[in-house]
Amino acid sequence: MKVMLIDDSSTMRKIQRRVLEGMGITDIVEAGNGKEGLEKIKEHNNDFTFVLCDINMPEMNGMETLKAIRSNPDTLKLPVIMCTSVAEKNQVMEAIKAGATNYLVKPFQPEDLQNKINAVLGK
Amino acid sequence: MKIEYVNPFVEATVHTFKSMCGVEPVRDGKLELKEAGFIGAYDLLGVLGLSGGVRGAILMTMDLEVGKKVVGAFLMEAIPEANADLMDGYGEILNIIAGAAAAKLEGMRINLALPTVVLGKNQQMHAKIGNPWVIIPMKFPEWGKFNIEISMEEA
Repeated sequence: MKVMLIDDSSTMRKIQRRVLEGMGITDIVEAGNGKEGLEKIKEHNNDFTFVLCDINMPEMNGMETLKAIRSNPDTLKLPVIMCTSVAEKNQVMEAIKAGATNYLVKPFQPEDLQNKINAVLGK
Repeated sequence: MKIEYVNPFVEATVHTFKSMCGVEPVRDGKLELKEAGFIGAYDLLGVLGLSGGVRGAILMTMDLEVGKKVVGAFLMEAIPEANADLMDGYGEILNIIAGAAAAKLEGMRINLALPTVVLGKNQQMHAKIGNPWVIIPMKFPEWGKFNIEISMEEA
């Protein structure tokens, strides 16, 4: 199982990585913004089980990244969990409409992230 | 700046620190309204612009030693000195507080800018006439004082 973490905060990526490793997921690729994330997804031949993606990021934000993933036939079905401080209902709905598989609002507890991941993995 | 904007930011601050750092900050004294002029700050100062249905910013400031404890708790790793983790983690905490407050002010369509964090002694910020700031003194009972400061008007 390989996971892509896209978040401009290196400390948030460390926190998320720790949760994933606690679930036994150790093959993790990180990116600091959407553009870098899309490049790495391509570099790895789209071989990811799911993507964890922030919204508020420089260069390419999470909504643009999600739309790019959904508009590419190679990544159309790649599960994307949005993990973000953006918590306004309209913005959450916009992400769901754009194809987000799941949505987790920061601040979160490790169990919240684990539950979202398990839901995506069908556990 | 309407006074009813204050509580959502206080609640978001308490909720964020409780959830992600395991500490519960409390209010520490009266609100202060600064209409114009210089506003003193602690060593660490993070600011995040608010746009969309509003124009303004949220600012969080605390001493370096308090910041090291806060970010250390957030990251679950000791922060022995000012480093990249301190600056990044401090900005991320501010980002989460701003997002949580924006959600509580549902309907105002608040967009968040990216946070900027600076570190230094004797920092001062300048409030322009027409852009008043509300200063909310708070403290971590275990660690020390900090301020949340807000300047926000409907766009």
